[in-house]
Amino acid sequence: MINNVKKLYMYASVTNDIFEQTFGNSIVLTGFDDLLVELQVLSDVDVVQASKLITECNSWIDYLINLNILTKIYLDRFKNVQEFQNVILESIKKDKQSPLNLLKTCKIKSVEIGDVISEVMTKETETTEKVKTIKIFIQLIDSYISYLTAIFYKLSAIIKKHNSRYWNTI
Amino acid sequence: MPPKNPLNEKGNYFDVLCQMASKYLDIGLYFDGYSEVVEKYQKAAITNRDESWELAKELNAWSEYCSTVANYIQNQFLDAETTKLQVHSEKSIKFSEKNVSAGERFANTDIDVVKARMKRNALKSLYDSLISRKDFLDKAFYQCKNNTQQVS
Repeated sequence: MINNVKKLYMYASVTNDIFEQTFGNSIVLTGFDDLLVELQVLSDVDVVQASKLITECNSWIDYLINLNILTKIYLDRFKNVQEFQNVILESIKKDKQSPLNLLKTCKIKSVEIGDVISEVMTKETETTEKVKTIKIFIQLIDSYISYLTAIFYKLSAIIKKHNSRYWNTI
Repeated sequence: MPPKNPLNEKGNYFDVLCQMASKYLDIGLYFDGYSEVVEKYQKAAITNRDESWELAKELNAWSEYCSTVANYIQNQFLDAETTKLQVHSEKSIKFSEKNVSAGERFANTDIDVVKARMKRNALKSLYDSLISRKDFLDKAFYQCKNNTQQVS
């Protein structure tokens, strides 16, 4: 997971650009990579560190879930835009002419109409790219949530093991 | 620890979800004091038994509160889902009675369907977020409970 974090930050950066332009909200993952490093070097007998990290894991899980929920709302809005653009392109196709042929025809008749169709096609491609990026980001966050949840229970087991040893010595 | 207010003056992601959903709700959403409890939990020392015990009780009470709010939101969300399906079906039939996929595609661009979808999304998101918050509080509760045993 630590090797994959660069990919996560890369997708977070691209998704962040989309969010800031469209919704004015941003994605902040400051300190997440530090947690992953600390988890990697954790020893099974270091209970104090395990107690500190279990709190961090729990807090990050909650934080990432909320980030993912918000991202899914934004994804749905983009899907809606995509649907709208698809319908426009669909109505062009309904005229039994491919969009490109129509574009050529339109250019002869009216440059402006041709520009509008071209603009819709470009925007549709852009929206599709954005939807793909956001989907990958959501999947990456989901995988980190699963990873941190597994780590949380592992840390919990380490602490419980320590507790039972403590009680057995009394 | 994760950033407290990643969106600066807008607060955190949960606050944004609350803002989105609040316009569809006839009740207020109050979480005053929650962030203080979370801060105490994040700073709590493993060796302080009294602090862990007090914290465990507070976390448990907050978990119960979130559960109650989540149940109410779930009710609203399910109603919104029903309305969304109703509006979507009506519009879909209106656009194309014979071709289902074509009717659905056009219905999805209709402003009434979009509005119904947005309402459903906002309420579902808040519900999911509250369930995640409850899960966080339950985990934190058991962690604090373990701490009280550890230092006995």
